[in-house]
Amino acid sequence: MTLYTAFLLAGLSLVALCLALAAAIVLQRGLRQHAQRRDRALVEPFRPLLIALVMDERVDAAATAQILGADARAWSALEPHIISMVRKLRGDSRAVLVNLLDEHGTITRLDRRLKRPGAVGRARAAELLGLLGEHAPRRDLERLALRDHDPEVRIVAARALGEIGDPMSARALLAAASGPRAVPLRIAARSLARLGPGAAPELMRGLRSDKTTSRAVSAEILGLLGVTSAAAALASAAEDDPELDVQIRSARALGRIGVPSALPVLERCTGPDRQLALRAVAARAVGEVGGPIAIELLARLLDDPMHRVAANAARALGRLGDRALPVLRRTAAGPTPGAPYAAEVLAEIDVRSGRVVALRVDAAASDARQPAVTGVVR
Amino acid sequence: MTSVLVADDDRDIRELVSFKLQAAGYDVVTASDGTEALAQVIAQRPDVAVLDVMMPGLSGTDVLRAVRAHPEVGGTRVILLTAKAQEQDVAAGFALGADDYVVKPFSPRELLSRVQAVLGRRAS
Repeated sequence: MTLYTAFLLAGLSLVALCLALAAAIVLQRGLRQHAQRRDRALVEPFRPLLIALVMDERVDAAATAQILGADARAWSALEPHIISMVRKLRGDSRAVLVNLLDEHGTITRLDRRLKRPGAVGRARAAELLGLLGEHAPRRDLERLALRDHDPEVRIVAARALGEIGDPMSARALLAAASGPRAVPLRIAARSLARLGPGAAPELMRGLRSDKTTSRAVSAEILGLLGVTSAAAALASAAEDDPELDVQIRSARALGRIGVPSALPVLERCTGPDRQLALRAVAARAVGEVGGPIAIELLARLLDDPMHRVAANAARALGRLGDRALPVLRRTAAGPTPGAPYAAEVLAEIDVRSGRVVALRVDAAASDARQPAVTGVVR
Repeated sequence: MTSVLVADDDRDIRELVSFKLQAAGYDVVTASDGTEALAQVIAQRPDVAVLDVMMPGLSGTDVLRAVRAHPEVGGTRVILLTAKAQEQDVAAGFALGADDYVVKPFSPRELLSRVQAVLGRRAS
């Protein structure tokens, strides 16, 4: 065989391979379109019935029986259609559809799929069970979030628990946030936040956990949920927890909850003997609590030698609006180290209100920590 | 009869909303994309237009902008129906002149109440 023939054969093989691939793609597309057309045709007779049932927003026994009476082939097309409708609706209309799926045994089938070997199947089942909400087997999903060997499945199960929103899942989600098979902290935290104030008792217990992650997440979520009854426990954690992360999250939570009784603790957290990260967060939290005492405290923090603390105090004063403006103006006009911080925030307020159109930064004019900022008037 | 335009590229949503509004006594016209929705607003002069934001062709906000700029149909009441639930999305919708904003997933009963409220505001 000559070299030319070999090249020719190789080229022809390549062309044949490309043609075969193209044909396979076209065939697959054709088959998929055919299946979609077939499914649409199977669903079509049930559509008016389904829409009437959903829009009546109540269980109509006759219509339900008719839909549930669909044969296996029709149901296999109908079920994904109903699930896609569940995704689009909320309220009673959604509940009617979920009931329909439950009555047909969809939830039981999905629950069984949670125990199957394929990770993709388990994750898909967990996601759908989260969508179907209150009917879903909470305990099986909790087990999955905690113990499944596949990290993706654990994440999907934790998200599903958040979707379902049962406060009873708080303990499992807290546990899922730590340990060798932990789900990412932000996933567990987001799901915990979706459980609502009903999760507060478990989060309060979490604040006393021996696991740092549980204490940190509990503090964060108690703040996000605004649980005022947790203020005392959070105050104690902000001051005394052995871990800086827990102290910081507790201080932030106290700010979010906004009870004035937290101010003495936050003031101590801004003290020079505390870690810089905690001091900076506590300064911001003081501003979130607000009130005359907070303004007084923030005014003192404007002169703090640490940039992050002084800058956060200035921004916190800026957010407090008219009540804090005299303090900012007085400091900006004075000779203290807080003057440039106050001036910067005042200039930002002027820009937001349209009084000035831009800020001029003069890095050389002031101390190295904070360049002088002035507003450029229109 | 009071007429409502329902514009959404999702057939389920078009049919669900239409069914609900028709059952409440409204005359409903539908459109499956933004271009058709704008044409329907100009041709049919509905009292309210329920517009999905993310539609092929013209988006719901494009349609809203065009409606507000039109000399004859500029006063059409518009409700935006969208999956964009962020605060800035809602604010942007109102800034463009939307009369109301409904976030998906939605409750058909709530949407009906919003349509009635928007029509009530006009009557008052």
